[in-house]
Amino acid sequence: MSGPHDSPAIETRSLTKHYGSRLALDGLTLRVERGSVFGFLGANGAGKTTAIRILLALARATSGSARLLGHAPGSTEVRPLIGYCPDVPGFPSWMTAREVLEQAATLFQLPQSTVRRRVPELLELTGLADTRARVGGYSRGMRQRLGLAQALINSPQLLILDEPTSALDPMGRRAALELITELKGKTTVFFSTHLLPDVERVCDDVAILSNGRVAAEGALRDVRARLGGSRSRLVVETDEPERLREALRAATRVGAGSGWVLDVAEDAPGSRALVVTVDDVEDGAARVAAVVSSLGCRLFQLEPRAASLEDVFVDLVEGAR
Amino acid sequence: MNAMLPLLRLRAREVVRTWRVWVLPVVLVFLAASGPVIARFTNEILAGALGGGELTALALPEPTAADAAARWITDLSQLAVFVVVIMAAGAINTEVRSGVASLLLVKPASRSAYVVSHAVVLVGFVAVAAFVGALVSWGVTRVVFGGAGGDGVGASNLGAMLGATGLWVVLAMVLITVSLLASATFDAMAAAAGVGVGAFFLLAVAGAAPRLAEFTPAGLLPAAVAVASGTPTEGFATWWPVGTGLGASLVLVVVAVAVFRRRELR
Repeated sequence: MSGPHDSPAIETRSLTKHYGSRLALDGLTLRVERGSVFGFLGANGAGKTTAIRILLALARATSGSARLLGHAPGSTEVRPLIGYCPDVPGFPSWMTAREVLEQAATLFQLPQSTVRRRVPELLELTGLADTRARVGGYSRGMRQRLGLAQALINSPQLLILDEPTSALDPMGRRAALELITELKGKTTVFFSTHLLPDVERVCDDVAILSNGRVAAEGALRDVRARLGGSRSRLVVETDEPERLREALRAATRVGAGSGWVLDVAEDAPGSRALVVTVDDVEDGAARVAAVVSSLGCRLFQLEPRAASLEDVFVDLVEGAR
Repeated sequence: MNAMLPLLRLRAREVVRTWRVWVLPVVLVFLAASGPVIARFTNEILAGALGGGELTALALPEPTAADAAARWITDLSQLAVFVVVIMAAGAINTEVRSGVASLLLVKPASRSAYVVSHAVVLVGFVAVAAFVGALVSWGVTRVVFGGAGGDGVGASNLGAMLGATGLWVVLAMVLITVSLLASATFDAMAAAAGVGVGAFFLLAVAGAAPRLAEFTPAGLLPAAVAVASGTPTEGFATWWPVGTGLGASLVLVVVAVAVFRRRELR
């Protein structure tokens, strides 16, 4: 029998949640291994925040079960082991950032020596060390940074973050992602987001939530490989991208060709490379080469591109609609 | 109850660091200081407004220190009650709406301690402010009336003044716990405040019914006025309203805890 120490960081079984007649979670079954950075993806309203609220015992599941680090959500055993930052953290407006962290430390009954060391560290880490203002005057980004700091005050075994970078500027976002990367292996990080580049950058494992259920789950690379096949993309670089683009676009129009090209886009602004989405990658590559040849262009590059997480996400979410 | 002491400290600091520390004490001290003056010069004020002849026709009695003391309790039961109800009505639901409550309660702090800490600090704060107000009112009464009008009257007696204020504090305790229960139940502060104010009017109306006034918290206000003015009602035992008031407050806190423990937070 497995004990709390070898149990997964998060385990849910057939978790459902009804709000009246609306089904917010529809049999959510999830397993998050300890030490991993887990991306919990989903469109707005997919049920991410509802699932997190149940994990934190802020809401009750209609049916199903959940365990955190082997304990029931909200139990006295699990509370000291977790850290949580919502997307818009709420703090008493009259407090300063330092007071917020000291208050949090008091609730965790941390020794004074730890508080004296940890509070300045976290203020420095989140760029709030020089701020003397009360929290009531903070921007949303500053609140989010303070939210991250207070979530780390107890050096949690499990860090639950609900869209932690949604309000951060590029520098703050980079710092937050670096922080999450540093925690890898030491702390389990479970974070919900719809910012897919963040997930691609830091996550080991992902689950994509759609309409309250897990549409895909597993290691990030596996999910991309397994579910990215429905979209085949080719990168084509020539000396005349505009002419090629026009020719390929003609192939997307019904009646103007076979319709084997699904989409044509610039790879990057100003780039000579085009990203061509085709219905079949091998056949498509041969046809693109033929088009390039017929136009008399010089071909520099023609190769398949792996599906991105965004492709997988869009396919799954749109497929469910 | 987990984290009771840290939560009590948090609430106490909140009172000291926000508008709460000013609003209620300022209101109470203003009422305490102005009440005896208004009581002392009521006849002169009326004479100025109505003219001497009309006032003579009214045949108003000479004001006494007892009038000032009764006025203090009446003042407490008007504006001060609304301030107290509004403070309690927004205590829980405001923090739930802003996300402060959820961030506290995912940490090792129980929902029971969360509700009880609100109740304890609010009652304590209101009690301290009311007793300070009573002392101010007593001091101003002595200055304004001097020895006149106070002989043999309970209201000029500091003990009676504090006793009457104590009875009002028990009434405030009932209203605070009603409002806290409403705050734990309803998202809207206005709805919770409506419940608190409604409870006050209900108690005020019920206080006019002899049996209810004798045995329930509805008797706290009449008892406080009677003690302050030195005219205790014959056969009226204040310990019944006090006992049932304290008991009702306790029950209301327990119910508020039960409601809040079941509540889903954002």
